[in-house]
Amino acid sequence: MKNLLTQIKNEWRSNLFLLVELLLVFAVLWYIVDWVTVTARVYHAPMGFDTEHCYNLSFNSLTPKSALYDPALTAEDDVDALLEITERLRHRPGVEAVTVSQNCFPYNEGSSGAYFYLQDTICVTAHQVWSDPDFYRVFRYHTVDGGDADKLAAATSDQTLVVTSNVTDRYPELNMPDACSLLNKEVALTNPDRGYYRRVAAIAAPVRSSHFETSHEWGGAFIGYNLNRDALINELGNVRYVQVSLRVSPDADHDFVDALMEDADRLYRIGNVYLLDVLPFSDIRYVRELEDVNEVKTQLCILFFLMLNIFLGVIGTFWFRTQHRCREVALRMAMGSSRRGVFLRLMGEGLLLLSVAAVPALLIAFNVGIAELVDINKMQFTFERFLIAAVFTWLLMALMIVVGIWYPAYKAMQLQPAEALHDE
Amino acid sequence: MIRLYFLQAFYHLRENPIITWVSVLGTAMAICMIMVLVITFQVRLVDCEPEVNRSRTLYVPYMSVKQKGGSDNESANSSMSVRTGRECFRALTTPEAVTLASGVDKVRASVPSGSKATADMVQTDESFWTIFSFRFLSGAAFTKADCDAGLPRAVLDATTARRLFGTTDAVGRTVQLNYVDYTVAGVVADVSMLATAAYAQIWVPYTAAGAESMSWQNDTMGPMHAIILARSSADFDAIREETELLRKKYNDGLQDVEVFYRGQPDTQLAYLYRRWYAEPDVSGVMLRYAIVIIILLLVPAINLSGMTLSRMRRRMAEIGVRKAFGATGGELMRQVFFENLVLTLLAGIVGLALSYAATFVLNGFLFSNSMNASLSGETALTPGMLLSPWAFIAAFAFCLLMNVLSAGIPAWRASRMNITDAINQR
Repeated sequence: MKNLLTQIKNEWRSNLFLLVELLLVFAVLWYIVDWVTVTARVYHAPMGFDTEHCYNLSFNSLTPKSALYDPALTAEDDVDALLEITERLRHRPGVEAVTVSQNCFPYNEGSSGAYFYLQDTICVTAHQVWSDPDFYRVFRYHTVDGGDADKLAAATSDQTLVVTSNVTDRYPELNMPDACSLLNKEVALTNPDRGYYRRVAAIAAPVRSSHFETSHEWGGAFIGYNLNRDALINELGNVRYVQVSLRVSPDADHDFVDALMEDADRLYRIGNVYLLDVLPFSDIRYVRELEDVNEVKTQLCILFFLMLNIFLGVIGTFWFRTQHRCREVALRMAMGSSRRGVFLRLMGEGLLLLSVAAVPALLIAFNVGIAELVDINKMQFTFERFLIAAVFTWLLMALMIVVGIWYPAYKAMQLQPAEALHDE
Repeated sequence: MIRLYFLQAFYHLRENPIITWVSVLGTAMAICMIMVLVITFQVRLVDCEPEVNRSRTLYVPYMSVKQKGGSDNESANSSMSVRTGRECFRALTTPEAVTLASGVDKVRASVPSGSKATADMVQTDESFWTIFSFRFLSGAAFTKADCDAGLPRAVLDATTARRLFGTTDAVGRTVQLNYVDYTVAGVVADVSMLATAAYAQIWVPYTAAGAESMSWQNDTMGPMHAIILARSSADFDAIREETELLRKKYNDGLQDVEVFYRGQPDTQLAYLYRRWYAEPDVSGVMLRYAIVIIILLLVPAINLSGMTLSRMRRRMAEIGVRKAFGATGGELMRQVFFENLVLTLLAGIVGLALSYAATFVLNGFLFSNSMNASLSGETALTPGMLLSPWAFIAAFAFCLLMNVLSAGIPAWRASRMNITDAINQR
């Protein structure tokens, strides 16, 4: 070991470029590995709902220019037609549950906010789930204590609210990191108090708005309001603005979209309301997460590129080195060093070089972390996080170094001491 | 002399195949990755069919409305209504043409007692067809007269026409769009989704479809975008000034609210990076690109430097002899640069070829984004997008840069080498 260090020091000129490269790559790679590990940990956290075998339906109403348009029908009739269609969908074979919601289905690009007041003046805001009770059944939300969606559905009414356990998380002044104490409490909807209250009837488990966001970010906490016929008519007024989602049983989930669209004109057009489009939630999730997925791919491309360069740099440097040191190696062999020993010595030299370069690189990396130049929205920068990324980075680079030295070291191993020392 | 350098360079490359492969591969990968960046960028930025006028086009995809005198942060943000579009943009006199086009909407298209399809539809006006240059397979675009009269005319793309009628020769046939009858006026070749502003599968006059009735926020907001074609990019400032005048005039006529555009009209570059209504962080994006390119250049350059230097060390005797016979430092430097250039150019050609291959293979990853992922079209690439002289100039420039970075230190060392030390291989 000491011997190797001395040798590295004596050959500092030829090691310099490799060291600089290792240092630079180590620092950059650490940043990428840190990003990837944090993203992977966020990705694999539970979502809090299940959209497998779920579909989203959008509806539209005919315009007066259509020959089928019935001018006698009002917005109220349109809403009733939509509700009638959802009733027909419930009876479609294979459909397990159907819900009407507004701008709040999972992986939705848009979102609305909802709020209530605590301690008279503190306005608690969160993502709004504005839906009928079946919403929780379709997407299999659950309560914070592990209860199933039926409890949440039962708690949804015009007098009650459903909130997540982290709804007050962002309000340190409330000193209420867990909102479970709100269960069965009345909360005010207005400030100043005008007498509108709702009872919190269930505490739901936090959810996430996509696989790349944590439950602390927007969409992780929600406030669930009931969406009734009255609101559909008076507050929304157009079937374009609401979404119908449904869950199909796994056995019936074959060619569901095509079959449904085939029946669209016959079964799912009532009055002026018609079915526009059906999308599986896998597609909706794909669209929602596409840019994040692309970002992961970009980072992995750069990671791959850097690793390839380490490999090339190492193989190049060590190729010259073994040729250069041919006599030294031969002498070692003549003095009794085994071929394996020569091989391991070169490997050891490579890994030692990496470790030497890693020290300043880790210093840089740690300072980058402390300065919060890494993404800290998803996860705090802790020593543990620093160490995980550092270890992974070292292992990745060590792998490339071992692969890179393999061939030159193998060649050195094959050396015939007598021939190499002939000159001497 | 230069011929001699080349011959010598080739000889050295052949002599040491492992090192040659390693150097070429490393450099080619770097050039390939940089060129993929350049090509993806260029595909969305340079003029190509149907967006042949990108360089002199301005875009207003979004707008905001706030209470008169209120804060910019307390605004409603969306696209504009037909009325806002007409009074604030169609009324402009400086530009060559202004069109209003709706966002892309899904539409149910069907032939009475025939095929059905869900397609992407845009509602627009006659100027759309002058700003963009579509290739008509049959028929023609709808005209100003059609638009003014609100006649139900539709232009289909080839794929949709084939799906509905089995042929692109569908002019005069009837297509039902959301259960309203339209007459097919023309059929155009498919448009790639990479032509963000021109893309759709069905185009109809907004006067015939429902765009005018869809409005909110006191009839200021609706589904429309404005696209402005300047006579030349030198007019951009004048157009922005006139836009501001029209905006003030329009706001004077509004009762409680005022409209504003958050830095729009956008040039093609800003339009590309505007996500939702927020002002695009173009300099942030460029900084990111710069950092990535620097890393992509620097890491292989260090590699190459190390290897060139090792090679120089083995040729020390040769350099010493040449110096002893009167070669100057500058001459030796030039030789190292030239020899290295042979290598980088070789790698550059390989890298450029690889980058074109990668652009096709990785099409989905490179070109799909949240704006086009939900549409039904293709992000098809055409030769017009890819083969611009800029790509080749950029590739050559990056090769030269790579050469300077990787041969700089070895060349400097060679020129400074002491003759006796060199000959004695010290």
